[in-house]
Formats: sequence, structure tokens, C-alpha cells
Amino acid sequence: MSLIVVGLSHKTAPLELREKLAFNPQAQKQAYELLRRQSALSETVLLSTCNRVELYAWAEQAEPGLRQASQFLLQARGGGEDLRRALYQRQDDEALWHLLQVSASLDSMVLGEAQILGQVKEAYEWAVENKAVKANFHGLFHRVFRAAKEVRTRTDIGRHSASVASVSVELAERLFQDLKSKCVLLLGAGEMGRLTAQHLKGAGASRVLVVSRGQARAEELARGFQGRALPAAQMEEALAEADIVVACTSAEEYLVGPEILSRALGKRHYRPMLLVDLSVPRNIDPAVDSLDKVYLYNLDHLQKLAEEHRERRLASSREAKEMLRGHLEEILAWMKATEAVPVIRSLTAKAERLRQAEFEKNRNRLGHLGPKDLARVEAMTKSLMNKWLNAPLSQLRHASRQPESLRDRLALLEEIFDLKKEEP
Amino acid sequence: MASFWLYQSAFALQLAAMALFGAYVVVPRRSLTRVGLAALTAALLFQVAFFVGSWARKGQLPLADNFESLAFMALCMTLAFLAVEWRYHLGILGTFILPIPVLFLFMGYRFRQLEHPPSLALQNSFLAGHVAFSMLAYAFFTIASGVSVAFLVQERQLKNKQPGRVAFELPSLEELERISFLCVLAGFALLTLGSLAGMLWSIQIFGHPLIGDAKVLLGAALWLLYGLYLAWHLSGRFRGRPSAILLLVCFFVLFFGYYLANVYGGGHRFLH
Repeated sequence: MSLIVVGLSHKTAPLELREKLAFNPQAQKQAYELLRRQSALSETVLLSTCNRVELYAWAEQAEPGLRQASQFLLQARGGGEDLRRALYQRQDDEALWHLLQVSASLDSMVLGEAQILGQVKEAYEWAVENKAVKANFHGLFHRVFRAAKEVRTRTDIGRHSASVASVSVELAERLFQDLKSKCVLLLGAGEMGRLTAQHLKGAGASRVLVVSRGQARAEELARGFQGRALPAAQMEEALAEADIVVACTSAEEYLVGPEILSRALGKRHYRPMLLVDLSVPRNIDPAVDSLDKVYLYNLDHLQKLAEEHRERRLASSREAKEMLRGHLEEILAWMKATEAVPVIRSLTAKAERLRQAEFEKNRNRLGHLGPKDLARVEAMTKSLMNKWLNAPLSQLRHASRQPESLRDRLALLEEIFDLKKEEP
Repeated sequence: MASFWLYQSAFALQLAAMALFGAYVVVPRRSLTRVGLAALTAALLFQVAFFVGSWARKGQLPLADNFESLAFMALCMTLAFLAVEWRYHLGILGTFILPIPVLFLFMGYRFRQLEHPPSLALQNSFLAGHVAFSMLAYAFFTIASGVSVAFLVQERQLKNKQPGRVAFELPSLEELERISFLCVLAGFALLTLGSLAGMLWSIQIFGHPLIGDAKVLLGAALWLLYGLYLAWHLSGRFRGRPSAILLLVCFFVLFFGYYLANVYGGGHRFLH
């Protein structure tokens, strides 16, 4: 048996191709119905996200499995030559390494992003719901999830944000213990400011105030955040209330200077403030930086931090890969061991059938025995069978720890006991 | 004295934990702090075993000389650090705190005496309580100072727009301030209890509280300084850098005034 994967990702296909192959939930349901008819693929999981579409399968033999999986993907979405060229295929340890890297976000467009593990889990659950997963994939995917989770919790791969908006949230979290009790003041209606305020709100900030030149626009924005719009004349009150200020306006002069901020600080009993100035030209006078308890960051500072964070994630990815390599070895050993399961089942089933047939054949000749003695004789046949099977089964279990010799031994056992004819 | 190898093992483990936490600043591997914490927990167990062994052997709290006091101080600090770590998962904070108990254990070697007669004074429970409470208070003050150093490092990095890895590893400024405050609050309460116990002991023995002693005055100064910190913190105006710097000043007084007076000056004058 082989693990195979066929698919495309942001590394091999542009967005136009990826969206052509993408499966929505309805299409996935139909896909699983079709996949059940693919004889070479015994278990399947279809992963479809904005950055990748991949079909993972458990195949009797790798080559026919890969062929069938590729044909299925191409035919299901009516793909042409461009799609065929973008598809990649992997098998066995390479396929497993790919799945591990994808789940641990080492193959993502944004290295270390948090969503992919959830998406792989969702794909697996969806496959379970569609009865496309059996014992092998249950075991495999749970082991992969454990490995990916370990990478996330034990390395810094997902720790540092890589966008200006999320770096602003991280800075706020460096200053404040809990954003839930914090107030965000959004100055202006610029897109980047709105996005940053959205991130802060998403991270827990409870209140949002909006001050914008056009009152109507300010009210509309405030409604979007379930916040409050204030006229520009109440800037000082707004600053006194806000713990985090995000400025993104088209104004060409400073809107916040040291004087107004000093007064606001006094009113707020000198609690610290984070000021994020995303405007070009700047809206917050850099002179405010000299005030104690004021932490001012402009666009350049934030972009520099985002770049540093990307580099840190890259450094963590090396540690993550080392960790995954350990899991790769363990899971490969487990996969090899599962190959012995059908042979063990066939061997015990055949022995049991023979035992029962022999016992039934002789039951009439043992008519003189009472029910107790008959049960004792049957127990003896079972015990004899188990003892006799013990040696080859222990050999197999031992061999499954040495994958290189397992296949030969399985083949030998199948030949000796004529197990090919047996139903597993 | 209980088996000295327990003390030596504790010192070696504490040193290893300090090195591992220090290495974590340079090499960002979480496994380093995990192993560091395991080493520190083992060090604590050895220190407790040494303390209990000495207690059982002497039949009184093993706080009679500088060696035993330093060992107990290191134990209190390790315990306080692990308690704070367990509650807040501070990780990298160990880098700022662990050198202090290591230093005390190291200083302990200098004062080690193979045999020490039991102290009659320590058989009095007021005096034993005075010593134990005071030392536990100093352990909490020391943790608070370590947290303040972390606060000042984090604050500077954020102010200079260069929050490095240390800043992203440490808790938020607000959280660090809260931990410092809680440690000082706990230390202040223990110091008050310790001072009261000492005063009751002196009334019991001498008939009046001893106030002219340099160490007593230094204790009173510490009580006032930490009281000032608490007042600053509660008022809000001087929170942040000023409070953190005040905590470092307090620690300076505590370390150079109290420890050195105690360890090198021979402790309370009236005990001689």
C-alpha cells in the first residue's frame, strides 16, 4: 500500500488555475461519490483552500493510484493542458513529508500562518463524513495533526505577525495585558487605518471611537465597529479616552501634537498610549515621542518590524523541519507496520476456518461426550491453533519494526500459507 | 549540617538552569527553557532536602549562620520564581532573575562551616518567625527587582521602536508592572510580619523594642522605600519607568545594605 498525493498549490499554479480546480463543499460531496468508484484508491481526503487543491489517497499500488488521482482531478474540473502541467505527484515518504509540511504551515504562502492546520482538519472531517476514510487514514491524519500541533506550540513559526496591521496588534499586546478593556481611536477613514482598527477589534479591543473630517463618513465607519463617532472638535476628549490611536488620514498637517497629547495624558492619569501613524504625510507630530508613557510608531517602523518578523519565521522553519523529520520516521514505520495487518488477518481467519471445519466434521464422532467435554475439546483446538500461530505472528510483528525486510516476509508467508486466495 | 552533596547538586543544577535560560536569549529554542525549568525544579528539590535534612539534624530552623541563611534565601527565591513562572509562564524572565539565587549559593561556599553549635536564640519562635518571614520577603523583593529589569528592557525597546525577540517573549508592560506590584505587596506583608515578630522577640527578651541597631534602621528604611513604591503604584502618576527604577534603588539598598551588613558585618549588634 502507498500514500499518494496529487495536486497544485501557489508554488506551481497562478490564482486563475487554482480557482479553476477549487472544490466548494457541494463539489466536494460529488467528488467523494466519484472517488468511491476509483478502484485503485481505497481511502481519500480532498483538500481545497485558496492556495492549494490536493487529493491524498491510500492506494494499493502507487503508479495506478497516481494515474487515477490525476485523471480524476483533471476530469472532475474539466482541466486542460495548463492544469496538467501544474499538477505535482508524490508517493510514500515524499507524500507524507509533503502532508506534514502543508499541515505545519511550512509550505504556505505566508510561512507559519495559522489557518492551514484547521483547513486540513476540516478536509479530513469532511472526508470522514463522506465515508472516504478508513482505519489507515484515521491513524495517519491523527499522527500528522499531532506533529503539526507540536511544531506550532514548540517553535516560533507562528508567533510573529508579518503585516502592518497585525504588527500593530502585537505592539498593543506588548503594552497592554488585555485588549478587552482598551479603547481604539481611529483618526481618518483611510483603508489601512480601518484594517488596523479591525484587527485590534478582532484581538479583543472593546471600544472604537472614530474622528474623521466628514461626520457622515465617521458615523458610517463607527457603525461598522459598533463604536462612536466624535467631531474633530472633541479630539482632546477622544485622546484622553483612547489607549490606542490609529491615524490614517489624507491631511497634510499634524493632527496630534505634544501639547494636546500632554493634556490628554493628564486627563487619563498617565496611563500609557500606543500611537500608530499610518499616514503619509504623517498626522502625528514626532515630537510627542519625547513624552513619557507615549509609544509612537509610524509606517516605516511598522514595515521594518513586519520584515524582521518574516525573517524570524524563516529561521524558525529550520527548527520546525527538524522536528517534523522525527515525526516522518515514526509515521513511516507505523505505515509499514500497517502493511502486515491484512496478512495477519488472513492468516488468523484461515486458521480459524480450518479449525471450525475440522471440529464440525468430527462433532458426530464425539457424540458420546457430554456438552462440558465437548466444550473442553473445542477450547483445546483453539488453544492449539493460537499456540501454533504464535510463532509466525510474533515474527511478523517483529519484522514490522524492520520495514526493509517486511515486504519479503509478508510475500513468503502469503505463499507458504496460500493466503492470496483468502478473503482478508 | 545535612549532606553537603545536596547543596552542591542544587548549586550545579541552579547554575545549569541559569545557563539554559541565558542561552535561550541567544538561541530561540523553547526546549532550552523547558530543560531549564526541569533543572530548576530539581535544584529546588535538592535545596528543600538540604534544608529539611539540616533542620532534622539540628532540631531547629537551619538559619543560625550566614551559610544557612544564604541557602535558605536561594531556596525562597527559587520557590518564588517557580511559583510566578507556574502562574504566568514567563519563560525568558528567568534570565533576569536566576543569577541572583546562583550568586547566593556561590557566596554560601565562602561561609560554610562544617559544624555549627545550635543557636539558643533561634529556639524562640518569634525570632525564628522573624528570620523566616524576612527572608521570604527579600525573596519576593528580589523577584520584583528582576521583573523591573525586564520591564525597563522591554520599555526601552518599545520606546526605541526596536522590540527585539526579548520584548516579544516577555509579558506585556502592564502585566510586568502588575507582577512587580504583587511581588512587592507579598514581600511588604511578609516584611511587616517579620518586623513585628522581631519586635515581639526583643520585647520578650530585653523588655523593649530595639531601635538603635543599624540593621533595624536599615529594615525600617526598606519598609518605607517599598511602602513608597506601593503608594506610587496605587496613585498611578509614577507608574512605569519611575516605579521600576525605584524598585531597583530598593533592591540596591536591600542587597548592599542588608545582605552585606548581614553577611560581612555580622548581623545585629546586640546578638554579639
